[in-house]
Amino acid sequence: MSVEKNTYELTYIVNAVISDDQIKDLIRRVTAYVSDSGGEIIEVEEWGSRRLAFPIQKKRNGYYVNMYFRASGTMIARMERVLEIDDNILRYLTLKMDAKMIRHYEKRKAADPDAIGLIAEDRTRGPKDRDGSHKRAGTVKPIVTEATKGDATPKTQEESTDVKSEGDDVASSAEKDEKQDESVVQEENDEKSAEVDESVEEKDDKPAESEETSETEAEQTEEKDAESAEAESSEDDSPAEVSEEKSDVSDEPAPEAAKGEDQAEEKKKTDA
Amino acid sequence: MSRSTNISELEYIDFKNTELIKRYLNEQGKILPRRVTNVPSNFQRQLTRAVKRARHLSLLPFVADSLK
Repeated sequence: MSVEKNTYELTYIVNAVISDDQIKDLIRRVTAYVSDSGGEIIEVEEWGSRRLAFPIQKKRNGYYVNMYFRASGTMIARMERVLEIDDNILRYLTLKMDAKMIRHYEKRKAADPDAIGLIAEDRTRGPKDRDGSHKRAGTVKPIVTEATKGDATPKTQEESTDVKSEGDDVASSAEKDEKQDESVVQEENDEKSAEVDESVEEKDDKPAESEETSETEAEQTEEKDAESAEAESSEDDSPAEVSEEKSDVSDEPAPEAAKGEDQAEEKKKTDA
Repeated sequence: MSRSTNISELEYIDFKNTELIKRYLNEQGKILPRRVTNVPSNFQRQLTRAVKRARHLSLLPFVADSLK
């Protein structure tokens, strides 16, 4: 009788301290075990060595591997037992892919076959690189339009999309989900850099007003969700906030949302 | 607004998409409540599931002091 096969997604973390050959060997063994047990491998993604958000077994880095395969349900428990026993596999997560997940996977592959599933900052080298930017693990294609062509040479891909994104919200919202997420995050970064430009230019003319209007514009067009409720309350404190932002922005244009950071600062000040 | 169309289009919140997920956490890495973020209830449930999976795989911290 034919056994029903389900689609699974397995993500596991390999000890990054062992040699590359051993890592490759281990991944090959796991993949072979799955296919020998009657599984059909769809894809194996290796995300490489990444910094862990918290130490696991005293280790700070881990080599991530992501696998999609089709198999019957009975072999999953045995496979997980094999992963459990191996000392070099630190964590694993097996998910059964339902229709939604499969559709999401197909969409992602259709949009960009080469991109890995992980959309996160690349943190193997620590929280930030020297120029204050974050490298991305997923592929980011900079959006070059008429507006950006004449701009100053960007240090990173993020900054190249930064400069134009304010006017390009409509266009960016028409793109695919993941790229849209990335561009919106970059818009957050852009808010900071845009405010730097504007504050420098318009300081002589109308400092408070212009920043406020640009802020409100930026808020309306770009951000709505997490920061909106907090931002609305912080709008009342706009003079104080504007001066704070100016000092923050001139010190360190970090790629963070202006509102969230200021809100946090105000909170910390009131708390402390 | 671009954000509301984004959420309603999003069928599945992938735990691997930490860029998206981080927007719904505060700087301590805690999940923001729905009354603050104004997201639909099913989105919030999916988000919570994704956050907990990401935390298990150390893509997000359980506790942080400056996540953003």
